[in-house]
Amino acid sequence: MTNERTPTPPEAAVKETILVVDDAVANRKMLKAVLEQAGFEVLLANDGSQALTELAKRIPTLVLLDFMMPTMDGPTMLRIMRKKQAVKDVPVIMLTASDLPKHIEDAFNAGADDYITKPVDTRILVARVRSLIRARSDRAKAQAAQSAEAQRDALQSELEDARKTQRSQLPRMPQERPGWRISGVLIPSGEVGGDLFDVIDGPYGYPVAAIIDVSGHGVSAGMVASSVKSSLRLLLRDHAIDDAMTQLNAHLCDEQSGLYACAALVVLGRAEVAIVNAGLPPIAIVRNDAIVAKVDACGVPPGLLPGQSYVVERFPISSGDRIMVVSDGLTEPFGLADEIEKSLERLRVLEAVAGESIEQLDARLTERVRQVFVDTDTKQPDDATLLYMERRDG
Amino acid sequence: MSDFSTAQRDSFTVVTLPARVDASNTKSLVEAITASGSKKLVLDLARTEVVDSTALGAIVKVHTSLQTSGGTLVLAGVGDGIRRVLSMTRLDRVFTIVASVDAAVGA
Repeated sequence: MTNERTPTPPEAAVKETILVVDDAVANRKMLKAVLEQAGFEVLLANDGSQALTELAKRIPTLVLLDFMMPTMDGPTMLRIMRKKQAVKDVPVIMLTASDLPKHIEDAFNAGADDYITKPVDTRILVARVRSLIRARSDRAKAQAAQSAEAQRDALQSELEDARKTQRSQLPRMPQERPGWRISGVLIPSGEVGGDLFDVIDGPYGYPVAAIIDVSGHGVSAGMVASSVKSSLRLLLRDHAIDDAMTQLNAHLCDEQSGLYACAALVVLGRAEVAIVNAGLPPIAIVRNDAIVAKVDACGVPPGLLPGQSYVVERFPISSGDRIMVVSDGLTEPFGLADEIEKSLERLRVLEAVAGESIEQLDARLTERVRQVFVDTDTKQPDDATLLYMERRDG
Repeated sequence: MSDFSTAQRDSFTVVTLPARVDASNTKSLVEAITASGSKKLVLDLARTEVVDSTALGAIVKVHTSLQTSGGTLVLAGVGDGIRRVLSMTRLDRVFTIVASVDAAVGA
């Protein structure tokens, strides 16, 4: 860290500013007149030492520097200037008394960008000043673009990591639980989305399938979805599903993230299923390839309003029955938000396929969800999630 | 220019919503509501076809805030699509929903 004062950058000036450094009064006057005539603002210094003082006060767009000066000559001043962070990149044109190769070499070795021999041709001087300023400006723009591209790449990489992290939060699918086989498909609309599902060991020895759809999209929605999933895993250790949803609502309202979660919990019992639906499309109970019951939402999505309670709905279940839960990313593109029938018909998942292995079932469902937008030439505006649970003998 | 126009009807401020209210214009909606400073608010959804989850969350927040300060929020002209979303999220039991702005202001 240094105690150098930070000089005012050239952007603060309306006009481009040239610092003219020359020990001869007549030269300074002439150069000032020519450059002002060309539209530049001109700062003056008598020698290298005074020039360094000027540079500490204000950063010019360009420096016009005499080679031979008493006290501190041009090359000496330039070497010092090139070591100062604030002004090291300011372009410098060295004014040399002759075109002796030694002088020109010294000028470039000291860090000059260009040189002009005296006597100065004023038209060439102005043309070279403009050319050098333009070249520096183009280089600065290119560097800025390169930097923006690097930032974009870094952001893209972070989003990819976030997407992988979110994918890693999904349970292994398909999976078999006593008396049930379960498959889940989630196709995010962007790199990171607000949908998640899970299969959790519930408090009474039965698995609980959870599906979560957090409002909004992107990383913040993904983070809240992860938080909801963790909360549910904790809550379902010792809370029934209606209590768990009530607690989740209180937790999300307290967090005040501004986001909320449509969620459903399904207890997969042997003889019945117990369901709490808080804001997701109706949950379908399918028997003999037809929807025989639908479970509508019983409460406001957790996180929207404090003090909500939720009611469990129970349905007897037998071998071959299937429970299908979708997020609204699979209803709204094909009808109204609550039209589960249209969604499942479009997905073509109502008809069971006899003799299908669990791996085949999972592959079929994944293909259906992926293909439904392609087959129907429909844009996917939201995360699309299907959770499919099939009661089996045993 | 804002997607949301505001007008005074008796003691109510009526904010007319565009065809789509989503994450891209929810902030403007909240700004329009805040700028009105009104405690008696009607959201006219007669032209609105889509209210996404972000916008819905913001409208609930406005409702809660108004309710806390003794104000009123009425949704007017709600079409079938949005009504289904409100029903699915049980918010149809939270909001006051009326057929039109005239009905909201008691004309």
